[in-house]
Order: sequence, then structure tokens, then C-alpha cells
Amino acid sequence: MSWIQSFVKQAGLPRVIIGLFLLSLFVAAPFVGVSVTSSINDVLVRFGMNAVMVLAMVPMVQSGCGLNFGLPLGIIAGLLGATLSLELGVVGILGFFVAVGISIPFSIVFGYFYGQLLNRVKGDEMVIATYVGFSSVAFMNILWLVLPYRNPTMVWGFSGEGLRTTISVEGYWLSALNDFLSFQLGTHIKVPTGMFLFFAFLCFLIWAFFHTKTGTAMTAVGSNPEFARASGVNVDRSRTQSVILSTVLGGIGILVYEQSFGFIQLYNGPFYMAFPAVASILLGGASVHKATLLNVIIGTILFQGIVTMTPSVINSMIQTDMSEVIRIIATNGMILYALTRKSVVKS
Amino acid sequence: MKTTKKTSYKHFLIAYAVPIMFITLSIFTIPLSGFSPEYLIQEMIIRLARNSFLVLALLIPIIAGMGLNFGMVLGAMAGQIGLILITDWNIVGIPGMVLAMIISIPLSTFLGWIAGHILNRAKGREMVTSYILGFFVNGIYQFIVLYMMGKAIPIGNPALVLSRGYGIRNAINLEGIRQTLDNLILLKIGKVQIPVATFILISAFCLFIIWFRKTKLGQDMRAVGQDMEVAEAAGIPVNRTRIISMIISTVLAGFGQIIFLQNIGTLNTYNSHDQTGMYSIAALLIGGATVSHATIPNIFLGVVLFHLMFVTSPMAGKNLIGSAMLGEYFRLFISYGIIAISLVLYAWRRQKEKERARMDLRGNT
Amino acid sequence: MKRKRLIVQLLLILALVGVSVALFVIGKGHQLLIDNKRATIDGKRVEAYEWVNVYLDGATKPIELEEDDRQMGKVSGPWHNIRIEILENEKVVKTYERRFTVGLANSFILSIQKMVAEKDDWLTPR
Repeated sequence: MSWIQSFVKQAGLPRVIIGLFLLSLFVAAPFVGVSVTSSINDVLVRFGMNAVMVLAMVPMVQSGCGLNFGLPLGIIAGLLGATLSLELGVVGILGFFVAVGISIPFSIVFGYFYGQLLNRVKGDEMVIATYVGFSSVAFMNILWLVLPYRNPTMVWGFSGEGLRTTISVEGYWLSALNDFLSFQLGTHIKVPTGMFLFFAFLCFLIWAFFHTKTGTAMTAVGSNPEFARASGVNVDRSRTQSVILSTVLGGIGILVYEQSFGFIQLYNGPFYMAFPAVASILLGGASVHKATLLNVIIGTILFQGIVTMTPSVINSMIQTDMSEVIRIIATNGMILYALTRKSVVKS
Repeated sequence: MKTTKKTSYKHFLIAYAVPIMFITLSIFTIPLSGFSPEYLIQEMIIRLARNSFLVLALLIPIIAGMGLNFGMVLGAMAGQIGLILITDWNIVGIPGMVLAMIISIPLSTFLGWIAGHILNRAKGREMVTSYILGFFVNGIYQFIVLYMMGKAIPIGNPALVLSRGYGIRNAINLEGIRQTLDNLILLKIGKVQIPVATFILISAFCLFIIWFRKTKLGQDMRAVGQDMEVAEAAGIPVNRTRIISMIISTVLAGFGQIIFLQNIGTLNTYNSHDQTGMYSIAALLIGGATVSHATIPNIFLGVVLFHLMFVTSPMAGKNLIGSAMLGEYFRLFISYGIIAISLVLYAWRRQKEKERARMDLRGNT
Repeated sequence: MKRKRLIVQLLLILALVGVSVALFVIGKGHQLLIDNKRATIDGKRVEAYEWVNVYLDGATKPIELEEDDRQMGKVSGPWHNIRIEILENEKVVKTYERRFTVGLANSFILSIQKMVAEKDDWLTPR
């Protein structure tokens, strides 16, 4: 019994419950006529699509900036990269990397100012991040309408100006990463190797970064800013770096998502994209103050597993489509749990 | 937080920076929109009657130091459940409205009680927590309204139920109570109509808040808002006081949503409450309130300025650039932007003060 | 002291419930489907009137019914007053007035012919 208890204690009760729930969904799936293999395929693809955006949470949590509710800012940089690469007309995997390449300078600029802002509002980062994200999305709504894009696949047909709300990347870099070295496993599972490799590569970079001097300083700032300051670390600079890093990852994350999803979603598309990512990393065991790469991987698998499996299994079980409601409750319940778990250090 | 009462010109500008900005904005958008003054005055009166009560619900948590209650959507949802039930039972007119309010009270109280407990576990980050709580309860609301109503909760009126046999339709016609409060006492001045009864109700609750601030509980709340530790030491039950403030706010938000919807006349079951919190908070902040300080004049000034921008900007956008969409996006951006800016200014100021306090401390030792 | 408080709270809740019930009754909306149609009363056939104006609860504007017509009127609450004017050649030839109460049903059928004949089943829940 004791090993169970210690396991539960180590993994955290909510994770165990959700893990068991996910497991039971997989067990129940064949009985209600849902194919397990195609479900696994879905989970794999969705994991690959979302993992980088969840990874984008890590630097800011580590440096003590809290959960990155401002992820839409990074997403906007990614969208700029995506639309500009389409405008330039580069195709295939090269097109994808051009998009990434274009997004990064935008992310750095956005992230820098965003970081400067967050340095001035220590302790209130999360609510401000949420609204910075929202207002930047709303601001970009205006820009998408007036920026002089010309590619006919992207602009509204009848007026010839203003970007469409959804733009297909087919013929440009649809599945550019997914198809790289991908292989068939059985009849239903097609492993998106390229996407996983790319994610692994980014994870490695982050891992390596947190072992450099700059990276360890960032962790130090997150765990104890006073101590970090005393030992000569520039706290504000470190925090800004982490915000830039998070924003860059957010931008890359949305590109990975889009090349698999097949569409660029502009306008109000990025509004609520931060919430699933935040819920994922919390589900993976991260707290408001600490997040690891393992949290990212476990959390994304659990979260995407739940949102993939519950609609198909529950729906065929009770003949009702409750997926949306379950997603809302699970996502926000998880964030709520994390926010109320520990009382914050008294200011 | 205390400043000397030297009302210098500069101080005034800083304190009212946001309202002044909006007045300036309106000076440009009003002529651009091409609306007649009569139309605008009528529109502002309608919107004051419609929205003031909702904004009023935000005051008490601010007094208790819990910031902007993004969780006011909880009350809005409770109010909507009341409205769904009275529409199903076909209770019309003022009695219907009052009954909807009475039904919302236990729901709001329960939700406010839960919200209070949750926020007590998240001291120092009430705002983001209440924001997420709003989303979370929205999920539960959808579960109840979309899956329980018509099944576990009997709904007799087939006009309310989706064709599949359970779940409430997306839009509910509130013709039974449409503008009953507004039309109860209608005063006409020229072409402008004034819904006097609604304003009487709003003023009654303004008086309630003024009175409430002077009661023992109100004083306790202010003490808790200023410094929880000091209040605790003074023997004030801090957590309980905070929970009560959430309950009052949620109940008032429920009433506010009912008043809002009786004016609109249609309930969008799954969307009406979505923007309630954001628009109310934006209006309050535009009126010159901050996260820690809000007065009743802030409410009315804010509602007028916010809605002036809201009404005029799409037409102004259309006349200026030829795209009404642009104006829509612009007002969305302003709503979110103003909340972001106000939160940033407040947090920044607080951090400055904290730093100054720390410097003082170092200087003394 | 505590007990007194509890009693007061209970009384308040009871009062609120009482008010709710009262509001329910007062505010309950009813549909009246008013018929000006041929009817059989005590085995005799009664024809529809040429034209009838119906005033519900002291309304100033009548509900107008032609021959063989059915119109809907809306009222709320339990106690009501109905006044009808029977017209021939655009002149009022007869008026009737009567008070009535309705239960909690949603809709009723009201037959003008039976009302004029003062039958009990002039107003039936549907």
C-alpha cells in the first residue's frame, strides 16, 4: 500500500485521477465502438501540435513570471511569420522554417517590451498578461484588416484587401514537419516523426539553456529574487530574457500547430489559446512557480488525451456531444486548482 | 496609498488621465460618426439604465481589497437561470422580474460563497483567479442549461427547448418582461425618453452602498481592504468579511444582469453573460476607478464615456476608412486595452510604493 | 441570542418564499383564445356575431373579432374583467361585462356565444 501512497503523493492526486480517467477511457473505447488505434493516432498528432506551446510556459514560470497567459503575443509573432512566408510564396519544409525565421525577430521585439512591462508589475503578472494578450489580439484584428498583403489565397476575394479569417496552408507547408521521416504503424497510426524530432530538439535547446550561466541565473531569479539579486544577478534582465524566450517559443509553437492543422487562424483565433497550454502544463505537475520539461510532456499527453478521448468515448456512450463542456470544465478547473493550491508568498 | 490633499493641476490630470483620454477620443468620434445629438443622448440614457447596476456590483469587492471582480459573471449566470425559469413558467411583467431576482438570490449566494472561499485560498492573485473561476462556472452553467434542463430540471415550454428534447435554445425571447421596468414610469422630454423606474432602482442601490460603507461590516471591509494583517490583528474576521463581499457582489451582479436583459429583451443563453464582466469592468475603469479605489460617480461617468465610444466608433470607422468592421475591432481593442493599461498603472504604482517603503526601511536601520 | 437570530432568519426565508408564491400567482401570464364562432348551447344552435369588440382588463383598444374568428388575448394574474361589444352594421347593439378568475393554466378558450348565454363552460382551460 505504501508505494501506492508515495506514488500518489509524488505524482499528485489530480494527475493520478486524470491519468486513471484517461486509462479508463482507453479501456472503455472498444466497447462503445471507438477505435483505440485511431484514438492513439489522434493523441500523438495533437501532442505534437500543442507541445511547443506548452513548452513556451516553462521559461516564464522558471523565472518567476508566473503562467504565461500572454501567450497570444507569441502566437501573433508566429502568425506574422506564417502570413509573411505565404506572401513570399516559399513552400515545403523550407517555407516552414522561413516562417519560423520571420517570427523570431517579431517575437524578440514583442517579448522585450512585454518583459519590460512585466518587470514593472511584479506580483500581478498573470492578470496583466491575460489582458496584454487579449488587447494585442484585438489590436492585431485591426492590422490584419489593413496590412497590405497581396497573396490572393490570403486576402478576401471580393475586396482584394484584408486577410481572411482562416487561411489554408495547403500547397505551402501543410504537414511539412509531420511528413518528415513519418512512418506507418499498423493501419491507423501514422507517426509524425518530424514534429516529434523538432519538439525534442527544442526541448534539448531549453534543457541546455537552463544549464548555461544565463539559464541557471533565471532559475535562481524564479526561486528567490532577493537571493539572486544579492549574488549579483540582474533580476529584471533575467526576467526579460525568460519572457523573450517564452514568446519565441509561443511563435514557433503556433507554426508547428498550423502546419499540422492545415490552417492559419487569424483575428479572434488566438484569443483563448493560452488556456489549454496553461492547463496542460499544470496538469503535468507544474506549479505557478516551477515547471520542468517532464511536466510539459506528461501534461500535454494527459490534456490532449482527455480532450481527444472524452468527446469520442463519452459521446458514443451517452449519445450526447458534451465535449465542449468537458473541455471548459477540465481546462479551467485545472488552472483554478493550481492557483488555489498554495498561498502565495506574502508581499 | 495616501496622498496629500493638494489638488494641484498635475495631480488632477494624473488621477483623471483615463477619463480625459476618453473625452478627447469622443470629441473626435462623435462628429465623425454623424449621429444626431438627440440620438446620442437617448442612447446614453438607455445604456446608463441598462448597465449601471452591473457596474455597481463591482464596488464592494474593491472596497474589500479584492480588486476587480471578474467573477461577476457568476451572478450574471444565476440571474439568467432565474430568467429562464420565469420564462418557462410564463410569469410576466414586474412580478416576473422580481421573481427572477428572488430565484437568483440563493444561486448567487451559493456561487458567491464558493467564490469567496476560493479567493481566500488565492490571496494576492484574486483577479486572475476570479477570471478563471468565471470560465469554470461557465462550463458548469452550460452543463446545467444545455444538458440538465429539460431532463433533470423540467422545462414545460417547448419554445424554450432544443428540438432534440432537452437543453435550452440559444436565444430566448423575453417578451413577458421586455422593458417592463423601463416602461413602468416613462418620462418624455422632447423626443428623449427616460426610464425613471430603472433609475430609481439604481439610485436606491447607490444609497444602499453609501449606507453599507458606514455600517460595521462596511468599515470592516475597508479595513480588510487596506491591510489584511492589521485587520486580523484588530479582531476582524478577514476571510469571512471577504466571503460576504463576494456574496453581495454576486447577488448584485445577478440583479444587474436581469435589469440588463429586461432592457435588451432577448436572452442569448450561452453568450449574454460572456462579455458582462469585461464591459462592466472596462466601463468602471474608464470612469476613473482603479483596482483599489472606486466611487459611485466613476460608475456613471464610466458608463457614459465607454458607451459613447462603443456607439460611435463603428460608424466613425465606417465614415473615416469605409470599414465598419474596423470600428468593431477598435472598440474591442479599447475595451481590452483599457483594462490592461489600468491594471498595469495600478500594479506599477504599487510596486513603486513598495520599493519606496523598502528604501525607507533600509534608510532607517 | 443565537436562537432568536435563527428564528428571524427562518421567518425571513419563509416570507421570501411567501412573496415568491404571491409573485408567481400575480405574475402568471395566461393566453385567452377568444372565439366568435357558431356554438351549440342546450341543443340550440347559436350563430356567430357579425362583429365583436373585446376589452380585457379595461384596455382602451379592443380586440376585434369578425364572424367565425379566433383571436388571442394576453392577461396576467388571477383576477380579470372582460367587456364585449356586439356590433351590427357598425353599431353597438349589446354590451356585456363580467368578472372572472383563472387558475394557473397557461391558456384558455373563451367562447363569446357561451358567455352571452351565461353558461358555466364559457371559459375552459386548454
